[in-house]
Amino acid sequence: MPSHRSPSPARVLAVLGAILASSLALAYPARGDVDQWGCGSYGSAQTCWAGTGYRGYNEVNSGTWAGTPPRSEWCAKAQGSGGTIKAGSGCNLNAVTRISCLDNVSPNSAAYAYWAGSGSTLDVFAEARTPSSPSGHC
Amino acid sequence: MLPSTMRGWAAVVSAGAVAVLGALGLASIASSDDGQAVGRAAALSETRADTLQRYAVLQDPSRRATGETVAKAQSALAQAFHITPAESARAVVATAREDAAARVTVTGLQANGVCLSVSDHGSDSGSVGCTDTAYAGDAAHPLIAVDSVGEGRTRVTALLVDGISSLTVTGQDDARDVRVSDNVATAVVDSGPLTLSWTDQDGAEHRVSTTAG
Repeated sequence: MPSHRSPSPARVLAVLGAILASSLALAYPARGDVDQWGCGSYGSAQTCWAGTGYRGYNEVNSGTWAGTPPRSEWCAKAQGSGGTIKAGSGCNLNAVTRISCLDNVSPNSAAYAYWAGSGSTLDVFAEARTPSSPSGHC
Repeated sequence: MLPSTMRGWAAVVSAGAVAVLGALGLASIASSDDGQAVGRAAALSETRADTLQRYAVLQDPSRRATGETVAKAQSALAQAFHITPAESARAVVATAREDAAARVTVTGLQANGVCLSVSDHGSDSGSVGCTDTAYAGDAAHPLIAVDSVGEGRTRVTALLVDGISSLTVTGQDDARDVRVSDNVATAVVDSGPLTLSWTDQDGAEHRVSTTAG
């Protein structure tokens, strides 16, 4: 049986609540189970690391504003200390969002977002979650 | 399955990120103006509410990949690819397909946008990606997931509009044609830069290449 659970509206609301709650704290990156980072505004291909070192992530996500024209590649990945890309990492082509559910828990992995293709300047946001995160998608 | 309105997710995350970054004084990243950032976040929140309403329908377990569901969803998805963005905003459709060989469920969701969800039944991995309906409905810009499946292998899953019969996947050492069935093509190939190409129903050829990112 697939282990994925569909995020219910309540869970999505919980995500919003968690994110907004985290905004009240001035710690950066976000504490505990979720690391969030912004990638600045760029028009061309960029790799944007979480900057939080190696953690036991099971989910990496990235996205930009709704309505943005798609890019040729939109990626959310986790990489092991040896450079191996964790299973479940990847890209969506012609997309503006990506949720990557990693294969089980990937210990000691560094998370990053990547996008390729030219276009107008866009803001990119990303997050990486550990299994203890209460409101993940995976 | 991972049916998800990534559009909603992006809105949620974006709104949160604006707040986080604003709190950090990184206004140059989130927005050059605090008031503007708040306004954008509010607009995104409204989008999220709409999305959640649609998403509740998609949560229905009966929409899992049963034969009847698949048939209805495939029809609806094909229809979705040929309606205008304004019309699509009022529609909620889904398609799902079991591929026993690849142990993959593919789901295309259409609300304000089209999402491609891939779940690997053999592991905990999976992915979701979304784009606006207008782009996904363009034969030149199909949603394609390129997922690492470990051991130096990559799974390619494409959600294509009607009239495309095969997808050619070209890697470093070989090329293979993958049959499109019910608007979906999926294959597992060696990892590395790939070129994907297809011909639409008008005979126009399209291609997209991955990079090393």
